[in-house]
This record gives sequence, structure tokens and C-alpha cells, in this order.
Amino acid sequence: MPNPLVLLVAAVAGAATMAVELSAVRLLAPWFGTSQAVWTNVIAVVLLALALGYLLGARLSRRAQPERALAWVLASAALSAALVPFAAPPVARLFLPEGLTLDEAAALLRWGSLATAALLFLPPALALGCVSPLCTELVDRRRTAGAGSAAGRVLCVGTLGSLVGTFGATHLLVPEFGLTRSFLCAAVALALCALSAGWRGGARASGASLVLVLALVPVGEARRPLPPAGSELLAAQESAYQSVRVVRTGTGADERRELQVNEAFDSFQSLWIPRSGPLGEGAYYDAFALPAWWGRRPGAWNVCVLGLGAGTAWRVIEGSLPPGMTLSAVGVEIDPVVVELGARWMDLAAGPERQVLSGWDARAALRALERRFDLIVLDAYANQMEIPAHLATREFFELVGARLAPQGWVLINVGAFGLDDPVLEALAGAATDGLQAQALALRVPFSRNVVLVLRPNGPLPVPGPLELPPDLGQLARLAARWSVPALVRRIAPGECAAPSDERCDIERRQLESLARARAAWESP
Amino acid sequence: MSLCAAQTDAVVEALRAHDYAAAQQTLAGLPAGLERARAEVELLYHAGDLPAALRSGLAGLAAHPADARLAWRVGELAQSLHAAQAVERAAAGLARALERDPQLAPRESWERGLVELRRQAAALDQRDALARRALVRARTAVLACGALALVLLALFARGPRVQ
Repeated sequence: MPNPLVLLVAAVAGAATMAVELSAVRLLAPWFGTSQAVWTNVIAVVLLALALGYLLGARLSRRAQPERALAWVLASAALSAALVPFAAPPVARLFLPEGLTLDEAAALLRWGSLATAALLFLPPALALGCVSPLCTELVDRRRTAGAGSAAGRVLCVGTLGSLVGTFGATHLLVPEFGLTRSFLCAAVALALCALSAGWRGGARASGASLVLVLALVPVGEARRPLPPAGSELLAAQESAYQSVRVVRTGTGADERRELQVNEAFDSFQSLWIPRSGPLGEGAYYDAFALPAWWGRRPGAWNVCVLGLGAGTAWRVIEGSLPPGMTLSAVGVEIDPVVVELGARWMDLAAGPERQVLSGWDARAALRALERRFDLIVLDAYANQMEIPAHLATREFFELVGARLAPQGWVLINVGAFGLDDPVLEALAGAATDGLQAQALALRVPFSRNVVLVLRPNGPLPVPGPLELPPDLGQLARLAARWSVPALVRRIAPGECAAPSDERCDIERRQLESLARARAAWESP
Repeated sequence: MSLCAAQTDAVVEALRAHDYAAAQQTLAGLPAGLERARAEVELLYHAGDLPAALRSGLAGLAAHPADARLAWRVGELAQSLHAAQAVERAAAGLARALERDPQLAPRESWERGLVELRRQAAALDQRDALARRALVRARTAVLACGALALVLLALFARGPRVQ
């Protein structure tokens, strides 16, 4: 094989490795989420496989015809990568049976994702690991320079290929072609390399891998988890961040549309019903409407929602405002596909008094915004298992405080199993320290959510009944329930340890929270 | 009906009308005992704090192990929270109540409830077993892959014999 072709093969293998690795997390997401624990497991499996592959490649390179070995490992990598998306559903279900709730599945998320990653990604990553040593050997045998020079050139193009694979998978392959076709694209590229190496090395059977991989292309997409029975799938799309879908249940006034991400467990990211205003029992969004009544005054009500999703919070707040108040809102959503689907299916519309910062990270957006807000809502913690660490620190809440109007409010939605939940305490610690204010933790009835309410420069409300118009009866009932002391906790600054940018252990707290929730009912 | 039982019903009536202040006031006036235990569970249940209601119900059931009404409410709460052992305790409590009081009315309805609780307990046990088996499978697969990787490392790391 001429050196340029060998180097091209090394580059393609590097690109395929990163494409597989980055798509791997997305592939596991419908079952295990995309928490840091899942990322860690996938990276660990790929690193182990690459280490094994390097050694195996080194052994194979001693053969008389390394081209043949190269053709075979590339063909193996192509075939195993092509099969991964089709094997993922049954393998994941083996380790995470259908229908379990979040707390029932707690232990399975770590072990299950590790086992699934090992079974799915060890074979292709191991084969891909063999490529670099074999390419190095082929370059070195030409005796143009020493072994160091050969290794350096192969590593350079392999790493550049990885770079292309990294950007390509995140910004092109997965969003444009979907997950299954991303794996198939990587597999076809590897099979072509196998064919090329095999042709020259005499391993013409490697051409069979190309035929097999191409045969999988018309099969189309691997089966993703289906929407729940009785619901209709309205739209499904892959974004650079997640798998997003909109499902509908009911008709007419009872119609309900849910925007779900990664189809994780029993939760949804945004909810739409035909009318704006409160959503009713169990919906934490309704709490976001209460500060306007607690701190009632005429004029514009400036609201910033961090984690806008498809705009549920806006619709709830707007439909519940006291007379004489109008909504002027900014919404920050990191995933443009969510905004796009929200506009199409959930009445999310930007306008003069509605600014949507699509594709923005909440912290970066807060830093860029120059406005001050009467209410900042933080609703950016996904699936109750995925809390971005940089949105859970004292420094982040200092920034939130800097964007608040005098007597402004901060409301934070937290997935928690109780008022002493470790995740809630961590976030309350960060918020009370960052804002230098007391927090009111309000358990949302009939849900596993708690809303933290802070008001750095003004008094907090006394939880209890509110005089509201009859059409806001659901809101009145929510407020009335908070007169029961068991649903309320006051948390003072310094009472709970505050995570910081330097040290944030939120992932550990999440696992602790899930384990504690499960153990609560198992103790005698 | 005792004065206390009437007060428990008054608590429930207030809760149904979403008058939580009145319910709490009535509850505060109840002496410690079965009626208070029932009323506490009802208050937390209607307020929507299901885990706290279940905790309170289980404590009440421990103190009054043969009360059908309390057992039934604990069973309902435990089912919605997927707490298999708590459903079993509720079923046991209801069975005891039926055994101790042959006049418990409406008996047929309670007996149907007991059958349902036992069925739910069995179903939740199955889910627990399913999750446990999946965990064993996952750990076994991880250990097997780890062991295989070690073997392969040892195998591949052996260099060629120098001639």
C-alpha cells in the first residue's frame, strides 16, 4: 500500500473512532440518559478497547503481510459498527427492563450503561485500535525514515481524523442523518478502507464487509423506544444534544402534547394544553405563576426562563397574570431543535415582548443579557438525573442575583424525593450562598419536584391560601396546600453545603438521592 | 361513632374543600391515637405529599396494626410509590383487621380490596425481582468483559521470542 493511502486509512479510523464514541452516548440515552456517569462508562469502555486494540495491532503487525491484517480489522470494525444501532435496543433492555421508575432503575443506570457499552462498543473500538499499529508498520516498512517518524505521521493523521470525526458527528452526521445512519456512514467508510487494503493485500474477502454493511443501509433506522400506548407521535428529530420527540394524547379540550427528550423514564421536558394558564395537579410549572400574585404590581412583568424548552413556563405565567400586568419575557434554550419543535407544535413564538435565545447556554446567556428581571426561573435540570454542574454552583447564582431587579424573585425547579433530598440541599446551598438570601423549599404536590423560592432583596411570602380569581382555582389550591408545614422548608444561607465552580459534587448527590429514595421503603 | 371519629371525618371534609387551615386546626385538637394517625395520613395525602403520607401511614400501622381504613390508605399510597414491602404490610394489616372483626362492613368490599392489595404486592415484587435480576446480569457482564480484557491484555502483551 502506498503511504498516502495508509495515512488516509489511519485518518478514517480516527474519525470513525470519535464518531462511534460520540454517537454511543446518544445511542444509550433513551435508556440510561446522558449523565456524566454514562459518559464516563462509554469513554472507559472505548479507552479499554483501544488499549487492547493497540496491543493486538502490534502483534498482527509482525506478520509478513500486514495489509491483510489491516483489511481484516477494518472489515471487523465496519461490521461491528454497523450492527451497533440494531443491537442496542435488545442489549439495553437486557440490563434495564421496560417500565421501571427512576428510583427502581437507580442502580441499573450505572451498571446497565457500563454493561451495555461494553457489549456494544468493545468490538468496534478494539478493531479500530488495531489500525494505528498496523498503519505504522506499513509506513515503517517503506524505510523512508525511522519507526518514530512513521509513528508520528500515523498518530498525526489519526488524531486529525479524530478531530474531523468529533465535529462531524456532533454537528453534521447525527443531526442531519440520525443515529443509525451515522453508525452506517462510519461503517461504510471503514468498509471502503478495508476493501482498499484488502485489494492490495490479497484479502479480497474483506469486500464482503462492504456488501454486508451496504445491505444494512436500506434497513433504515434501528427501533427506538416507542411512545406510550394511547399516544400519537407527532414529530421526532435528532439534535446536537439529544433525541427529541413530540407526542399527543387526548383530543379537543383534553388534548395534551408532551415534548420528550431521550424518551427517558416517565418524565417530559415541556407540556402543552389548549389553553394558557395553570396546568393543574402535579405540574411544577404552576408555581412559576405565583410570584406575580405574591408581589403584585401593575405594569410589565419581566421574566427570564433559563431552560425554556418549548415554552411551557411562558404559557403558564402569561395565562395566570394578575389584571394590569403584562408579560415581557426572555427564554434561554440550549437546544435549537427543541425551540423549533416548540414553535411548530406548542405555540412557542418569539415577538416584541418575547425574546428566545435559542442555542444559548443559560450561564453564557445570563452573562450576555443586560436586562434586569422581576423573576428568573431556572428549569434547566433534565430528567432529574442530569444537572449541568455549572448551573448548580454558588458562582452561577451570584450571576443570577446580578440580573435581578430590586425585590426580584428566583424560582428553581428541582427533581427531589423530599425536602431533605441531597440534590435539593446542594442546590439550596448554592442558591442561598450565591444570592445571600433565605430559600423557601416548596414541595410540589403529587409530583417528585420541589420549587425553591428566593428573593434576595425582599420578603418571602408566607406559604398558604391566596385570593385568586375563580379561573385560577388550580393555582389557589396549589397555594393552599403549602399551608401544610410538611410541604415547606426554610433554608438559610450556610445551612447546606454550597457547591462551587471549583468543587461541585452534584452527580454524587444525584446517585445518593436515588439510592436513598429506594431504601426509604425497604427499611422495616 | 365516637367524638374522635367524627373529628377525623371533619378533617377529611375540610381537606376535600381544600380548607387546609381548618383541617390542621381540627387535627391539632385530636388526642394521640388511631383517629389522629388516620387524620395525619389524610392531611398529607390530600396535600399531595405522598412519601410523607406513606411514612406517617406506616408509623400509624405499626401502632395500630389491625385498622382496615389505615391499612387501605397505606396500601394505596404504597402502590402509587411502587413500594412493594409497604403494600405487603398494608395487605397484612387489612387481613388482620378482617380476621379480628368479623362484623367489619362492608366485608365483601374489604375482601376485594385485600385481594387487590395482594395482587399489587405480588406485581411490585415481580418488578423488584426484575430489577434485581437485571442488576445481576449487568454486573456479571461487566465482570466478564473486564476479565476477558485482562486475559487479552496478558495474551497480546507477550512479545515475540528473540532468536
